Amino acid sequence: MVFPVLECFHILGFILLLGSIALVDFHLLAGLMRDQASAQLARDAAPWTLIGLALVITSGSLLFASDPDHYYLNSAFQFKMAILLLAIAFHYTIHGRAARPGASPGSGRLAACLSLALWSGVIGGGIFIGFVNGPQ
Amino acid sequence: MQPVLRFAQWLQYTDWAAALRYSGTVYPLVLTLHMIGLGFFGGMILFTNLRLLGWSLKRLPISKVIAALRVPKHIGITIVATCGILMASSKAEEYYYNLFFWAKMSLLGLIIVHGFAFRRSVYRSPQEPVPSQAKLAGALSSLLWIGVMICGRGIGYIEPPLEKLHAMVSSPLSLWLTRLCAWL
Repeated sequence: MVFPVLECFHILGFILLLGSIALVDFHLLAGLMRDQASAQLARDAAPWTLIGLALVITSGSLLFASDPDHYYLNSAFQFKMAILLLAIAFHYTIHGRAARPGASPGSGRLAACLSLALWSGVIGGGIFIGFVNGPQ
Repeated sequence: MQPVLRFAQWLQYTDWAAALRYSGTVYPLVLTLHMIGLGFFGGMILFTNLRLLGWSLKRLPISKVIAALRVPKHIGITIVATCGILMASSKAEEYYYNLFFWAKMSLLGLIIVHGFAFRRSVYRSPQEPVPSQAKLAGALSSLLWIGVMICGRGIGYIEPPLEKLHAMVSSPLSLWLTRLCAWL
C-alpha cells in the first residue's frame, strides 16, 4: 500500500517539476506568454520547481529504499540517475542564465530544447526501470 | 455490458493492438510519451489552476493566463489521449475488468462536465472571472486531475482475471507486427 502511494506523490512531484520548467521552456522556444519577461516567468516558476524537486527526491529515495539492489543494478535506473544529475545541474546553471535579461533569443531556444530533452530522458529512464531486467 | 466486452475483445484482437501488447520496447515508449505529455502539458493545466486559485502568476489577469495556456493544454491533451487510447486498446479486455480504469474514465468524464459547467463563468468568460468562481473551478479541476492520476497509477496494480481473457495473437499480419515490435 505504501509503494503505490509514494508513486502517486512521485508523479505529482514530477508534474510540478516539469510543468514549471516547461512554462519557461515554452516561453523561450515558442513564445508562450510572449509579452512577459523571461526572467519574471522564471521567478514565477521557481518555487514550484523547487517543491516538485523536493517531492520527487523524497518519494524517489523512499521508493529506492524499498529494494536498493534491484534499482542499483537496473540499467534504466543508472541512466535515469545520470541524466537527472545532468538535468538538475543544467537547470540551475545554463538554463537559468538563458532566461536572464540580455540573453540572446537563440541561446534561449537552445537551452529550452536541451532542457526539454534532458527531462524527457529522465522520464524515459524512469518508465524503463519497470521494463528492463537487471541482473538477477 | 456485453457489447462493451465484445468491443474490448475485438479491439484487443486487432493486429496493431496485439503487436503493441507484446512489445517490450514500443509499449514503454508509448507510456514514456504519455508521461512526457503529462509532465510538460499537464503543467499547463497545473498553472491554469494555480492562477485560478490565486497561488501563482497573480500579477496577470485570470482570463489572460487561461487564454495563453489554452493551446499548449490542447496539444498536451491530444498527445496524452492518443498514447492512452493506444495503451488501453492493447489491453482492452483486461481493462474491462479493471475497476481503476473505469474510475479513471468516469473522472475524465467529470472533467469534461466541469469544463462545460464553468465555461461561461470562468474558462470562456467575456469578462475577468469572479475570483470565488475561479477558485472553485481551480480547486475542483485540481481534485479531479489528482483523482485521474491516482486511478491511472492504480490500473497497473489490478491483476486481470486470466481465465476470462480471450485475446491472443491471431492473424499472420499481427504475428509479423509483433515480431517487428519485439525486434525494435
